[in-house]
Amino acid sequence: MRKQNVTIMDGAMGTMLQSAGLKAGERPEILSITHPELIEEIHRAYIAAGSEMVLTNTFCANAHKLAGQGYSVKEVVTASVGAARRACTGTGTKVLLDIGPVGELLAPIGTLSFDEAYALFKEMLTAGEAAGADGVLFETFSDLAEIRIGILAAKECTALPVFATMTFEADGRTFLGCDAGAAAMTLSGLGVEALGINCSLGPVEALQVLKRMRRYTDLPLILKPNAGLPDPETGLYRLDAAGFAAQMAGFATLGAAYVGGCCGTTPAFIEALCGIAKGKSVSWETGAVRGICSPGRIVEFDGDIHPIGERINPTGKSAFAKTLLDGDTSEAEKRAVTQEEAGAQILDINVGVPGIDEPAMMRAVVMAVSGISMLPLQIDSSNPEALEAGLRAAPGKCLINSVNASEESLKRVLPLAKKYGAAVVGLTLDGRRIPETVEERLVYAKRILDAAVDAGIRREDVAIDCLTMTVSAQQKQAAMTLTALRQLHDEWQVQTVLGVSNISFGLPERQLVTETFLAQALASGLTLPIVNPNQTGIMGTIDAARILLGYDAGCAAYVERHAGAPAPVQEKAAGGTGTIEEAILRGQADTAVQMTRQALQDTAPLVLAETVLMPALDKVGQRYEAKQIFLPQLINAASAAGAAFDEIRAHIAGQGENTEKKGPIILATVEGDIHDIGKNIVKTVLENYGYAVIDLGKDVKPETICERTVQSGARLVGLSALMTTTVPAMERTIRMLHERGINVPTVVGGAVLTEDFARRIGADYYAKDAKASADIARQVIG
Amino acid sequence: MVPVPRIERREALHYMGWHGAALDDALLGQMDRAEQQLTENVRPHLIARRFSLRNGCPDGTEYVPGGSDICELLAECHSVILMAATLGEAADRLIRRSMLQGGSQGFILDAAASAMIEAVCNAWENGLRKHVREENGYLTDRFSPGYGDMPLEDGRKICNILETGKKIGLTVSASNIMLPQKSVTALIGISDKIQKHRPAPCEVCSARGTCALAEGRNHR
Repeated sequence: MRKQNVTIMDGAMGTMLQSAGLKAGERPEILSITHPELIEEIHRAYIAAGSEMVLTNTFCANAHKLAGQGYSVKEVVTASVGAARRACTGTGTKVLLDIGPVGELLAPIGTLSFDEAYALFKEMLTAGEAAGADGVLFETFSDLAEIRIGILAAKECTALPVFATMTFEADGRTFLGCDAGAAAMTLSGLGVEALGINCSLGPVEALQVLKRMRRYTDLPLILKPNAGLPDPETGLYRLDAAGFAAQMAGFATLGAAYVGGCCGTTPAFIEALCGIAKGKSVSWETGAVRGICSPGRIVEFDGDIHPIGERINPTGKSAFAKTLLDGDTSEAEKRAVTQEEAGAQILDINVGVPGIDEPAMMRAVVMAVSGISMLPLQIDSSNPEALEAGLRAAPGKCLINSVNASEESLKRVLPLAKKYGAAVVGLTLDGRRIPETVEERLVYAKRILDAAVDAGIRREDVAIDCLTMTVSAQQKQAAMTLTALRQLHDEWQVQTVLGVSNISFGLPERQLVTETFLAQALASGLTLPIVNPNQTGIMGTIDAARILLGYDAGCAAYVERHAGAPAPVQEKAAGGTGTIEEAILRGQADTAVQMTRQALQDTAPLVLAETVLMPALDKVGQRYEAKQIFLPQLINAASAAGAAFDEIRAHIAGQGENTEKKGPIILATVEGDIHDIGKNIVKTVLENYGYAVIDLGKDVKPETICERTVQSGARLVGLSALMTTTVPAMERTIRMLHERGINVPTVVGGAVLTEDFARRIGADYYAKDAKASADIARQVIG
Repeated sequence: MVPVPRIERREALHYMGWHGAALDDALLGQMDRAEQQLTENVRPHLIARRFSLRNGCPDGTEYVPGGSDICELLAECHSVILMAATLGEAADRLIRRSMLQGGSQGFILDAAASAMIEAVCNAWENGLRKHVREENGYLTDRFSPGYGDMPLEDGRKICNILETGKKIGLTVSASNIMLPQKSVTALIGISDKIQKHRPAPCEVCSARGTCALAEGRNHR
């Protein structure tokens, strides 16, 4: 149980300024300089109404929003804090520096970078602290990643106490899909004083959302809702002061120790609120639910089984490793999506490739995967700098993989878990020695748990990995692992992690051993198995174990996943109907592959490629040019051809021959542009035409494109830009390639480009569509 | 949040550059799946605010609509409505996920999402038109930044006035790109006189003649 006195915050600043004549779209922060007496007067009115904490007039006083307004961030922040300070003179009222979102979306969805956002917040924070603010409130955020950056900046650059609120819709999610529970779980770990809700909703709806936050935090909550929902016709808020106060009454039971109002509230609302809240105290039960989360998904450490997908790890996967070395994160993203669809609940991220800048790559992959998948992440590295880079970039609460029982590891990794509010996997070894007995494993486990608690980490945030040994090499160890698991689970009641596939190394029919060991481990209390979720036997074992262990109530999830499961695949009647060419023209990849496999039995692979597949692909191109088919049909046909080519390549590789694709071709959407649909279509078509593509993604700096072109030995560079505003970045990129003497032909495309314009900006080729790109590739590379 | 509308299939096909080629069942199935995926995932939001016009500008703001085309459109109007709508971030994520998997589904989803945000705007506009008729007013066409000579920068100004970041989660990037991507900002005038239907957006568009969408598009 925790108890705290209630602090009355203030109401809206914008509403007050609008009634004083502020025009829509005008920057209210400037008024702190031009009309400081007006701002001071509003603060005084709130203090007179009973506010014990007021927010400065600095919501959008960041360098981006103030650009072109004629005043610096420092000037506006200093004037705003000054106005609040003067109003508070002689009262006990505290001044919180108010910081809202930057107003642009962060990468990878938008183009605002982590570092840029950090710098914008830092500038406001240091100015606010210097001007005498007592603390900072980050408010009205929809993006958990963004508010996290602000909090990190506040913690690293100032000594200000930090308060944090986000804005949600009635379903408990922000516009960006962030769940209120995940927000509470993440923000709690970052060392804030209190967290909660502001804006968007009236008190009744906000209290419902706050209830969800309470489940995932032990901290005091903040409740600062609007004056009811706005009327869609007039935009006016519906509640009056008395109605607002009446609806706020539920604050006490949830432990909302900080209360106030947002849009539509005035000093009268705060006065009414004081009537029910001032001088009161609130108390609440502690014991928040533990777990990890992404902004959109929480995995509770509830005893149930939560599989961790292990496929984003380049160890032993040379093709995947090469994409990372090329700076291309698309394969990692693809692996994230396929694992999520296969039922993984957490994604392990490991980017350990010899010769790679591991912290930089960890950061890039974590950001890319967070932008595409909803799943919480496990940051996996033996390099503490890479761990920190991943933790810093990940927008939720992560699991660290891992710390071990050695002094050095505990000293380097646990502070990271504390700082970023992460949970951590403890490996039961001490760096020198791999334990052989159950007792040794438990000694190490205890050492890790004790050290974690000493470092300020909750015991419930530590999961123990008591090591899977290869059974063909150390047969007795399997039983040791299982016994230790049982003890950790039953008696110590901690979360347990195991990478299970190691068990079967060196044995034939590995999956039999792996799946059996997994079943035994799950029965012994394994809760967080690290597995390949793309293997149906693995996920089937987990589904079945969840029934037998009683986690899948009424077998509902099992039935949903397995009822109507297709019977074991039977080879379709050989050849199907028609020819390979027809299958390709119809875009039927499965049929094309099957028929190709059939044909390979009596036709040489290269003959098949040259006499059947290439002519079919040419025919597709002709039909497209003749407008008999249009783009999606072209893509489908090219994909079917691509799948048939892959089959041929696999066949050749099986005979030990070289099967390298032609190229490579660099593709990128230029800096400042995030419309990458055209580039993605070109990529699909080029790959299916047999070219190796290095996809640098969107919003790519000219420097990066130049560097990657040289490093990869690319034969062609493809650039896309959709907007008139981003075509100059395309021109800059081409100019830089020329200036650096990189004589690789360039091809450009995008809705606003023309052949003529492409020439003018120095491009070697203009591709009007994806088909044209493939023609140009053939011309340049062959 | 506003209701998720049905998609005009023709509209989606036009966004894919369709020029009347025969549609096979597989493709139609993909389009159905795209609409279903969007319907299950997106959360469309729309915000609009009405202003009296004073000297061609929304009263109570410092906004001067850019370009001569919009002035011409609003010439006979007494009021203007600024509007912004978005399908939300889920649509972008869905498209990106699908594009990653290769094949054409991502492209089809992209076109379907464009048709869907258009349908969100149309549904709103139809309701507005009825409402305005009741007070004996007439609407102009809906006009967006990027049409004719109206700069893209106007999108940012409209978003500032409507506080779209806070109200519907719509932001504008440094290069004037709206995010989430499937979003619209527009102006629509209200007049006492009947307003003629102006050229379709394509014909006043600055990208006319170069735009991939325009080829084969049936001008409305």
